[in-house]
Amino acid sequence: MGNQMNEDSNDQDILGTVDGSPSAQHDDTVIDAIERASNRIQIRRRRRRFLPLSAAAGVLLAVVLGILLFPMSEDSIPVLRQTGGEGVPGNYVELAEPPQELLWSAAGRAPYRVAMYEDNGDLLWQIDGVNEPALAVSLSQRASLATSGTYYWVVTAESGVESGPYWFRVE
Amino acid sequence: MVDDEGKKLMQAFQATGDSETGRRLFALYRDPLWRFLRRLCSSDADADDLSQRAWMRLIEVAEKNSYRPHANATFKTYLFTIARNLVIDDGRLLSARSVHVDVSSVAGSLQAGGLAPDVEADAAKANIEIARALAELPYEQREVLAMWAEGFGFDEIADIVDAPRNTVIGRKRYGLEKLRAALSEDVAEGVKNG
Repeated sequence: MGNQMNEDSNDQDILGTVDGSPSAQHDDTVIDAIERASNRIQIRRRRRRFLPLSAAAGVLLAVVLGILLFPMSEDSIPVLRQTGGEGVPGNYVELAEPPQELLWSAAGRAPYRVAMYEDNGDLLWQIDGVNEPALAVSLSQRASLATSGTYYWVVTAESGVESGPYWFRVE
Repeated sequence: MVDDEGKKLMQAFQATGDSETGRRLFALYRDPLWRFLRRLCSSDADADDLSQRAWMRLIEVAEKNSYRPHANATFKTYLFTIARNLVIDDGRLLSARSVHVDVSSVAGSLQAGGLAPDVEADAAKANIEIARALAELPYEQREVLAMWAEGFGFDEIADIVDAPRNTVIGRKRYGLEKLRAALSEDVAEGVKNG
C-alpha cells in the first residue's frame, strides 16, 4: 500500500500541469448565483422566524372574532314562553303546560333547525328552515309534549353549530 | 476523520445564506474542480461551462437546504460527483478521441506562466502531447487519472465513479501505461526529469 502510494507520487508528473484558470465570466456568474441564493435563503429564514408569531396572531384573532360573533353570554340562555304568560328563561325549567314558543340566541346564523326529543333521546319532531331565533310551537307539536315528562330541544345553525340541549319538564 | 472545511462551509451557507461563506466555499474549490474538468475537456471554454453548471447545481442544493453530508465522504467528493455526473449526462466526453485538443489554449496557458522562451517551447510541446495522449484514453481511465491528479485517493475515486476500488486501481494503471506508451521519448524523458 505504502509502495503503491510512492509509485503514484512519482507517476503523477506524467500528467503534466493545468496552468489555465476559469474565466472572469465563469467567476462572475457563480458569484452572482451565490449572492442571489444567499438573498433567497435569508428571506426564507426570516419567514420561518416569523411563522410561529404569525400563527399565534392568527389564533388570537380567531378567538377574538369568535367571541365577537358568537358570544357565550346570558343571551344563550333559552326562553320558553307559555300561553298568556311570561317567558321562562333558563335551562332545566319546570312548566305547567307545554311551551307555546321557544326563543334562543344561538351560536351561528339562520336558518335554524329545531329538534325536540324525549328524555330517552327519541326524536319527537324537527322543524327546518327557521329564519328567526324563535319558534312558535304548533298545536300538534304541543300535543306531543302534553304528557307530563322531561324533554329537551336542540337548535342547529346553518353552519352546523349546535345550541343546547335545553331541558324542561312539563308537570 | 479529516477536518473537512468544505463540509462546514456548505452546511453554514445553506443554513444561514451568508454570501461571504458561499464565496469562501467557491474560492476553496474553484481551481481544483476546474483543473479536473479541464483535463477532461478540449478547451478552457468547455471546462468553464461544465464547472459553472456544477457550481449552479451545488448552489441550488444549498438553496433547497438538501445538502446532507455523508459521514465518510468529503465535500470535495460530493462536488466532484456533481461535476462528474454532469460530464456523464453531457455525453460528449465519454468516448475516446472525442476530445479535440485546443493547442492554442494549452500553449497560451503556458505562456501566461512567463517561462523562458526555450523552456516555454519545450513545456508547451510536452503539455500538448500529454493533452493529446490523455484524449486518446477511454473516458473511464481519463476521469480516474484526472481525479488522481487532484489528490483523490482510490477509495474516494471509487465513491465518485461508483466502481469497486480495484477497478479504479486497474483503470489508473492501464491509463498510465497507455499514456507512457503514447508520449514521445523526448516528452517522457522531460516529464521524468521535471
